[in-house]
Amino acid sequence: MLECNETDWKLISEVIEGAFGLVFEGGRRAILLSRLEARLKSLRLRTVSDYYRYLRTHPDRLAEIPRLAATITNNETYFFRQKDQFDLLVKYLFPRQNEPAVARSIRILVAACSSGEEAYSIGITLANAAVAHLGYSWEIDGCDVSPIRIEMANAATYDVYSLRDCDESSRQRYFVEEKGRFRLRDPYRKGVRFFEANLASSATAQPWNQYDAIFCRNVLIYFSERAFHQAISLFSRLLLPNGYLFLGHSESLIGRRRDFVPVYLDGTMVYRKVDSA
Amino acid sequence: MTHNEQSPQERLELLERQVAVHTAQHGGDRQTLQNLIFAALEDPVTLVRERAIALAARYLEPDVLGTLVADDANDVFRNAALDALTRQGPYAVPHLKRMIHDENPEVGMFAVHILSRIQDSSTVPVLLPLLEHSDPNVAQAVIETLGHLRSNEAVPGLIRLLSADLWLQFAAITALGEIADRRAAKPLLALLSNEMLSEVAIKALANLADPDLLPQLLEYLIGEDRLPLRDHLLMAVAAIISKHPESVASCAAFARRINESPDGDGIRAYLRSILRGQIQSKNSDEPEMHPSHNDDRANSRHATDLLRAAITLIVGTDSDALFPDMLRCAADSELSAFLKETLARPSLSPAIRHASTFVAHPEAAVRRGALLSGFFAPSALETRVAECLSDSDPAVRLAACQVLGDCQFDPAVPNLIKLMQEGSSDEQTAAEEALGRMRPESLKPLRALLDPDASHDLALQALRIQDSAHTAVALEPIRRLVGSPDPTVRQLALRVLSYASDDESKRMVLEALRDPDEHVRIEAVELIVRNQMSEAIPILLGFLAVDDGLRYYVIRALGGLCATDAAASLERLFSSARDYERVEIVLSLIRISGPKALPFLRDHASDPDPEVKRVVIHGIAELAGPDQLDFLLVLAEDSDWYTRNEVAWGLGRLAHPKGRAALLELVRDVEPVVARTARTALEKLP
Repeated sequence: MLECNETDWKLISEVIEGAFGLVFEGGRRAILLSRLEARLKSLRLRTVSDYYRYLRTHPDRLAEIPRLAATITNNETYFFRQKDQFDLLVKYLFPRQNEPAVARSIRILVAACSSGEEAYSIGITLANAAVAHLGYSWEIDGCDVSPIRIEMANAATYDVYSLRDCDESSRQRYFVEEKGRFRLRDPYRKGVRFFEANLASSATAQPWNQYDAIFCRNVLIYFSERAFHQAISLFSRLLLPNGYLFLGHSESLIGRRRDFVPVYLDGTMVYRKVDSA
Repeated sequence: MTHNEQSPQERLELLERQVAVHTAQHGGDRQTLQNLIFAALEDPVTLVRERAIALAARYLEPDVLGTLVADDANDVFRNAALDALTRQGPYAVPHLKRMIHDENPEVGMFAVHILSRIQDSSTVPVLLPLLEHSDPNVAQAVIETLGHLRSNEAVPGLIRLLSADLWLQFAAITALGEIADRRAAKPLLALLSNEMLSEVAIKALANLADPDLLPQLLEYLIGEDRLPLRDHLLMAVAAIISKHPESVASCAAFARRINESPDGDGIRAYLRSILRGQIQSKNSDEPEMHPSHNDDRANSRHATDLLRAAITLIVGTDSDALFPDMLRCAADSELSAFLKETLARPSLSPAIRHASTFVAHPEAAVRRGALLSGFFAPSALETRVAECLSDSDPAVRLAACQVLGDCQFDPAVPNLIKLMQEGSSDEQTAAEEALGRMRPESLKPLRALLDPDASHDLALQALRIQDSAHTAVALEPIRRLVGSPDPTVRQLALRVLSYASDDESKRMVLEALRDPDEHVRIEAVELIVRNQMSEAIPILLGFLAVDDGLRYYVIRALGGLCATDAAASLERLFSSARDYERVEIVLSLIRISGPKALPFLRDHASDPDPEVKRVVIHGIAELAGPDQLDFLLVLAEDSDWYTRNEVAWGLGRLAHPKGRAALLELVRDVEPVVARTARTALEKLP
């Protein structure tokens, strides 16, 4: 495995935290080093300090940043992962049948969407809930720091591992099999768009909307404190008053933020933006 | 905005600013500084409290922190002070040695715990008399500390404590395990019949790994059917065999019982359960999951440790009935590497190492495990192993590729080339990788792939293989490819050509410095360094005058070639060079000039570009002699943690007594990495 002394570890950690807000402490250190090894080999560098200097001073350093992002971000995602939260979305965001539909689309952001499985899963859930028949429409935005992942999301073609929670009938209903991979059928791509965004950066001029709900699951646990607060502050600005924030089951804002309050929806804790008005 | 309305990040930034104002070097007020830190220690948010602890370690004296430890009315302050004193490390040790004897035994106990965390071996003589302290909390803290310090002097006293009260017994056993002194072996073995202490004693014995105990531990392993005790015994046995492979000779009787008795005295079923992740339930015919295989990260590590222990015992005792199960497990690449290492031990029976039946086993997972772990005789390469390239199972075919490459089995080259052209995508990749590990002289069949009528993709594959093998199989076609219209091919062909040492090949590398494609020109520069072509130095010096993308690489190359003629040119270029070039100029000057670069480095120690400054400081720390010590000491108070870290390292390298005071400050640094570097440096001082 790639060796790294403490000084070089701190140098490279600072670059990565500064660029992406990610921290790799404890057991995750070995994970980062094994991922970096591939980049070093590709660039024909020998040591972590060589790579640090590459990222800070090399003429091609800006082009390396998205490649680094794709290499080190944890892209563990698949269709309908933790789908119970999608069901809550349908139940609590879309009022009941006898109530009038809202005049605009319901807007949902999937932050750190990786290759798009989560965003598309939400679209499929909404389509299946027949909310369109009730007069509702929706817009789902997916954003990720890695342009390579965004490209994959736009391609909407996946290997079987991304479909591991789909039974056979779901696979056939939602996907077209092409040479061992699965392309999402066009109706389920409707209303979903993707763009690059870095949640840990204050300098993000992105095509944001104002959202009714934001999903950011199993990402913030890998963030530094600085990046965590940066991201939550961004969500606070992007959410409509009383909008919902869905986090991963092991993530919490309790005791850390005053702009969100925990609420229980069918026994599941989610967060609602405090209406400061 | 009030304090409560501020975000944690805002409170942190305010704290840093306020502390900066009140530190000594800025003529600040010590009491105000202390009050600021104390207030931050009680912040509701961890982020702010942790920074306050770092600041407390840096700016508060040990006696002040000691008063917080003694204050049992405020747990927050007490815990923060414990952490801060630990961070102070050697700086706090003199005070902690006094604190041990505090009239409040609780304070003494805390002092001992902190010394345990600091791990300063100078405290052993102070601690030894306290092993049998009248206060059991203090005694326990001392026992634990001496264990962490691996103090052999403590062994007799710890052995005496094996008959003390229960909590001290536990602590003494654990400490004896950490110290791993064989004087403790028999006393610990005697505790295996004690229900309360047996588990911790077995773990300690695993650390001792005394080969004389192996036969007795094996008897216990046979006789014990309770989990987790049996698992711990297995790991202890495996630890001994791993450290002392020759000790298996004393296990002949045990090996016969495993292999020859009808059920191996239950051991075979137990080991099989670990290999399969199953235990046979007493109440049902269905096997249950072995507890170590629950879906939990800690258990997952434990499961891996158990698997390795089982493999060690199976191989050590030549338990061939369990080989298929073992090899099935070894289809996992991490375990196959472990099995391969284990099989490589010379103390093992040749019969094991040369058993080749398993590469032809009916079950694919066993065949794959046998291949990946090298469980076959060298003579089987040509027949059974090579045949696996056409195995019905794709994973076995991939494993065969890997093995043939690892073994550099030349006769397989033609079949691997065929697989590279006709196999699945995974097989093509595996075949290419295997060919890249072959001996250069065996790769001549690749020449056909370099012919003008061969496909572009095959030519690239052939070039990549030669690059991996660091060889050029045939110069003429490769030279032709150096002139290819495709720059990717030119670049790769140039790299392959550079493995040849003839004059024409060298000339072509130099010629490539004028290639129309920048990537090819950069490749040429890097090949010149790799091959240490010093004849290229005058040409490279000429390129310094050209402000283009290549100059960065030229600067690096001159350093890589240790081109002494380039030093003056590089220094002259420094002020007009681009930022990223200036970093490389400094690095190259360090390589080229050594200590002669010091005047230049000192002149630029305050460069406004932080990356330039860092490499300058790195150079000073690496090259400075004792006459530069005062300059280093000034840098020890720099605001950049990297500078302070390099200074600490440099002071350790110089090992001059004059550096001690600065290092004792740096061990309290707010940045843990600086504190650790300073601590290591202090240990080098006389």
